[in-house]
Amino acid sequence: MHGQPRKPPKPEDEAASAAKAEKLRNLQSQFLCFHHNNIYSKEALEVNAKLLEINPEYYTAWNYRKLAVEHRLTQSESDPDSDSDSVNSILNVELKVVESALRQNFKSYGAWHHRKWVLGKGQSSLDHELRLLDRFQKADSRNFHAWNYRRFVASLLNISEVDELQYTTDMINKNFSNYSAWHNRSVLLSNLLKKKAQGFFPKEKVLNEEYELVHQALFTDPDDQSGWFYHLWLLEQTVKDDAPLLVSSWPAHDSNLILLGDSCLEDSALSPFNTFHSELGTIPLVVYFNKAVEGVNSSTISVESLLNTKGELTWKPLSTNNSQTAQVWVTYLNYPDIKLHSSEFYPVEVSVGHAQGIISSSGFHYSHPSRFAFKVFVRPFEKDLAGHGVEMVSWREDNFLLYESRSQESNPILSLDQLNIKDDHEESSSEWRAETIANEIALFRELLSEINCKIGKLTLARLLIAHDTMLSPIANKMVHSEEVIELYSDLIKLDSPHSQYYKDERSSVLLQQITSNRETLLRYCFRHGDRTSSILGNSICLRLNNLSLSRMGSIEKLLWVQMLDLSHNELRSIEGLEAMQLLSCLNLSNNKLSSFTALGPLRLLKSLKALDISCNEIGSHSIDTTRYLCSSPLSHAEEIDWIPDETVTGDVNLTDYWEAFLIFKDLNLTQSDIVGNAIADEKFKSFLVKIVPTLKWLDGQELQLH
Amino acid sequence: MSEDASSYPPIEPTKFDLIVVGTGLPESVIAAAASANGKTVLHLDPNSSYGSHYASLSLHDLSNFLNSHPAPPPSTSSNGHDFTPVPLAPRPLYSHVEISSFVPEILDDEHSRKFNIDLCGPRVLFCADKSIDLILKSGANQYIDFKSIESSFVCDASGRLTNVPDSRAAIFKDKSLGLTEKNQLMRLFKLVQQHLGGGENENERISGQDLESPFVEFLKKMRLPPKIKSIILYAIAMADYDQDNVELCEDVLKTKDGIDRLALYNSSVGSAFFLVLAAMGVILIPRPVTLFLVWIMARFIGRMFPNAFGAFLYPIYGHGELPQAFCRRAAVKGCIHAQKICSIPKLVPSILEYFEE
Repeated sequence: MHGQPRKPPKPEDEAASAAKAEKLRNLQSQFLCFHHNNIYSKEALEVNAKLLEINPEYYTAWNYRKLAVEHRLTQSESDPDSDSDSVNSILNVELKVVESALRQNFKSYGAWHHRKWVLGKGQSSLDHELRLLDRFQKADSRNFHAWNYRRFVASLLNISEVDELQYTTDMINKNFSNYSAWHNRSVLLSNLLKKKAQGFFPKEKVLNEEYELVHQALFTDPDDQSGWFYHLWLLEQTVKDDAPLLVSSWPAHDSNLILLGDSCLEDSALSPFNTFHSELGTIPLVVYFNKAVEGVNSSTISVESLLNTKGELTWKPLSTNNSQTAQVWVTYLNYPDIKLHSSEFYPVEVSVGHAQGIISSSGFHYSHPSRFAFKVFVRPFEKDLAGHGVEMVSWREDNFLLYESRSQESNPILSLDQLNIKDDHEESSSEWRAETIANEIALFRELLSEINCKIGKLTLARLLIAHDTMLSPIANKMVHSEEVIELYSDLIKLDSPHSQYYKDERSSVLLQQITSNRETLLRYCFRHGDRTSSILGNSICLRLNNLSLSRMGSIEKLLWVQMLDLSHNELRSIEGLEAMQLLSCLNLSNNKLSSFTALGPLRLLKSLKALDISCNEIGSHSIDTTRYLCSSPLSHAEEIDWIPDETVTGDVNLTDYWEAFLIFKDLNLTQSDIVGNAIADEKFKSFLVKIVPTLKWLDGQELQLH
Repeated sequence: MSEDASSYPPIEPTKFDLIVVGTGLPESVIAAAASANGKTVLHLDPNSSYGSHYASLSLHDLSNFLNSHPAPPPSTSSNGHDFTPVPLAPRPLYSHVEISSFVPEILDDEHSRKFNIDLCGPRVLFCADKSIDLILKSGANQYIDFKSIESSFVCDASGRLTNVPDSRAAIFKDKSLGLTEKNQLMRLFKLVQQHLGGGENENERISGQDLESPFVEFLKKMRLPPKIKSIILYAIAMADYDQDNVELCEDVLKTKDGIDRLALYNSSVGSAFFLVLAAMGVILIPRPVTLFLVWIMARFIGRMFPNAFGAFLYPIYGHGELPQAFCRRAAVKGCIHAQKICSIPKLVPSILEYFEE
């Protein structure tokens, strides 16, 4: 069945297929005639059966059969002479038609679906189904249609999951290159583990046995990928937390937040990491979970503070597709500036999950109630300076000086991990995890010493990351990151068709390494020389430029960043950036962004003032493939406030730049650089100036006030 | 002897294209081949049973066989005829036999029929071997039932029996191999497959130099551990003699031949579908064991295992079935058989010359 090369057809084959086509056309026109006239006679059904035997992929013909069955069943109900035998005979004909169709093509979706539909009537005997399945498994043990159908029949017959699991074991023993068997195994085991069925508890013991089994496959034939996929599933079962956890927040726990007026940056006693300037009179409060959750609201998260006097807080999911499920949520605390005294600290205490309601998308409840607290200190707000001219931010190299930290500063990193509250009952399980991962790492190092195997390297890299991530709260560094980066660099060379994936992974490891502790992070922190600029609440710029990054990562540790330089990388997307709510200056120049859709996350960054997207590939690709991945005007997820015609002025048509419009319409940018993109012609520039009225500088040129 | 001879009906005709003496496997094959090609053949055997040294005997028959001393050449006095008798009795294989029975009760009538012993030692046949083709082509398969060998074991230095992992699925299931060993073994199989498939890359082929070197050296070069080496050499490539001991080894297996054996083994696995299959355990003892190899096979205990496609076949009633089958084939084609013939008259000088050579 597998691995048979395709041969070009011979002349006699072509003649045969022409004859077949002729026959098919005949049958088809006959059938359609019956169908249109709602004729469900025996003769009509026979024509249909012949047609399906030749071409099982003809969905209309299957649907006709369903109509015919319904029709005949209703007839037999109204017929006083009919009994259950007549119903059975109607359905048995259907089963036979399906079988002969499957003989023609055992991978016909329509045929399998029709069989399920017939059995769903609950009238047919199921004993025959298992025998039929056996026949199909013998013909091709990897036929996933048959496996699918097996799950369906097994649930109808109430075959125990334990028995079905044994069946997968038998099939794997016969031939372990069977994705379907491994897959079914993972499905069955997930259920059994969830139910804590007898013999399937504790989870650790079961998973150990599964590791043992899959090792046999991986070592016997590392070139066969089916086992590797199962291993990946096992790894996920090993490291994953079912319940969502709070991984970070802004402001961080135990931090002293200083809210600034315009000219206070020279104050040397203040830590620039916790200094924040807001024109809006609000402080964002960001909570960052390890997975997407829903149900974040004022009852599941309580905030106690003097700062917020305006009643209930509204939490907003930071999601680019308007879903009510997100990994990051934000709310805004108001501070009434006049009443606060400059010498006073205002404590804020946030309790997360003390009331039930935060649920992960896979249905697990947030079960680790946690609390974090910070203090807010407000410097006098000098209003007369607030209106003082805003200046252009320059990304020129000589504007940056490596930041030299002062010892008394609070650590931007450290405080994050204090949020991780470990329960006692997790101790043993986390010990087992560490042991298992270490064991796996040793094994695959051994395998790789024997052979050169791409997927082995990938697995080792994943294991090392899992190991480091697990230990990072304690070790506070990624001990294996150099090795992992090397593995991925190696894979990029070995397996160029998948290089983009490896680059993404390498980027995220590199970012994990950079953000793993204070020392490494400080190497990328610069003081921006342009001190007079009031855009900057603090003058620390995180410069992650020239790192060959293809995507962003470790954003949970970078929530404090207000100025970010990502230029000269290979970014194709900026997914995740929406969590950086404090971001006011962003440099994305010289990357590989190919459309405005890829900039989607920017729409959620309300404090963004300066954006540099020069020298990218926007407009170079006529077909924007990211459109299908990201939200677009075509997707219903988009919430559009339709702007009437007045925005479409002159020769600029809104629909030409629809995506740009969606990105820029909500941003209050004061400066932007778009030069070096295919789209950035004069027409586009004038369009941009119109939809972003706050814009003062475009491509380094000060705009003339209208 | 003369009475015996006289009690025999006269053999007609008196002229043959070929007279074959002895019913061992080679002789039987020759007789069958010649008869099939239309030659007149006389097939003689001084013993009362078929097979000569290729016979499979029950325990009872075995002790009789060992105790029977070949009759001395009959006094050959020319009694007026113009021919001299030619002695046909083979030279004995042994000079002294001592039989002791440790558990006499197993030799009683009930059990003695359950066991056969192959005189020439157990020989299994590769399913894809030419000899099987011959058996099928000659039609001798009509007279033999085969069993498929369900599993093979190798005996290691400490006397422990380990399973022979001979396929991908078997390697996967094997509990005695370590993970790295599994990988090494499978890699060798793959290399052989790629090599035979005319691998395109340098590393998918075995170099000419390696092909001429001893197989055991090649396996060493592949960094295979001793356990796997002996599995490949003795249980899969079926090498004779101690291949590790090059000085004493009478038949050093070259890599080229070793690869061919592996290929034969590989094509043998799963090709036995046309023959009767049954379960049977076979103990493969590395050939350095020089003792008389006692081979006991359980006769009727085999269960049917329709899916057990082993690489080897074995005649269901022992190896002695093979010469018998060829003899029967020869007989069908017109060959004349005579047992217990210890001498033949010298009929034609040319035949005599044939024997004297």
